[in-house]
Amino acid sequence: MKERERLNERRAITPVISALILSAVVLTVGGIVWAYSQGAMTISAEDYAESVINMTDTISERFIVEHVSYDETHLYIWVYNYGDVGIEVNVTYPENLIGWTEVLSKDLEKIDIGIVLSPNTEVGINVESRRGNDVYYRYVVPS
Amino acid sequence: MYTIGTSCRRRGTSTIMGTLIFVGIIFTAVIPMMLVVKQADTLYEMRKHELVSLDEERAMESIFFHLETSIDSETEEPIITLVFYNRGVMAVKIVHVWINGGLREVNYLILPTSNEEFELRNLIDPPYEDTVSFSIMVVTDNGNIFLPPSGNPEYSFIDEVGSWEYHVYTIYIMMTHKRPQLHALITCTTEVPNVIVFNDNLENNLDGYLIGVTFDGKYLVIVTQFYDIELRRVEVTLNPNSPAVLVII
Repeated sequence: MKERERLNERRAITPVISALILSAVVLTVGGIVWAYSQGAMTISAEDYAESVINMTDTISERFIVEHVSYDETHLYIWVYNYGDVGIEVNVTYPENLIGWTEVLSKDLEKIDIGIVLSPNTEVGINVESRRGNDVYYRYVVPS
Repeated sequence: MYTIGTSCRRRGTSTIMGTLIFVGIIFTAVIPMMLVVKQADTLYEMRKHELVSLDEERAMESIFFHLETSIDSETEEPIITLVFYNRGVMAVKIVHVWINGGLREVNYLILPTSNEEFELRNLIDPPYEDTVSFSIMVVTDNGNIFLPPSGNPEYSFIDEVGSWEYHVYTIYIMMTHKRPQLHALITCTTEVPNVIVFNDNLENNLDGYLIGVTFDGKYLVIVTQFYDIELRRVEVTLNPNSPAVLVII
């Protein structure tokens, strides 16, 4: 009985240590969760903001095929960007060009395609932007 | 009892710390993210509304323009004057003029409901020996393309004398506001007897009417409403120097 009492008295230090250990565990786990959640939320917020900015730029794109001419070996296509954002365009038809042409806001750029076309041929010209917008233009090769 | 009481205190401390960490996460991670998302959404919506209004402005751009031609008396150089009438409510800025596929970058501002004239020179290089047809197109800042209704003027240089010729002349009837049951009668007054070139009802819209005639000369334009109320009676002259006229009712 005395021995038991003695042991109970010796346990007096244990609650303090266990409280400290529990607090340390809570703080460590909480800190890890806090850091992880903050990082994850920051990344999510940045990704979301970036996707919204991209989407805003996509819907802000405004361009037209202003003029087309042909000189027996080359088809020249003038693309006018009347929107507020710069664009990169590519002609996908009648020839699918590989390179992108940058057209700044309120700028006009000439795209040159080496192609042989017969007179009076009707050509559908498709100009596509890197963000996925496209413009269609119908051109008849002069006789 | 003593042991149970200590355990409760330990759990109480941990619960408080856990709650504090949870509240900290809410305030430092979740709420800022929600604010960023909300702000991005707001910016997107604002941009969308801006674009809708810009597209509306673009659709509202409405100019009527025709070409007046003249010749420099000393050099026989052909001159084309672009005559614009902005019939819209927005100012229109012309940025590109295409002359026979050649680009001229310009900066013409035409205020709402006003007329502006801009002269184009150096159209062809001297000596002016050939017959040249001029195809002209203008492009606005907002990407609208306009063509003259009177077609392509043709400049000829024969026996050292330059002259202009048109194949289509245009009378443009424009309404300032919608009016029902309109009728137009256009008679050529230089022909004897007078030849009626147009005698028809006009639809009730604000786009206006382009009436093309083949010959130059004088024309009497009478616009009536409900068949008997005369709104406008005007005699107009069409010639190579003035191939298009605007009649406003």
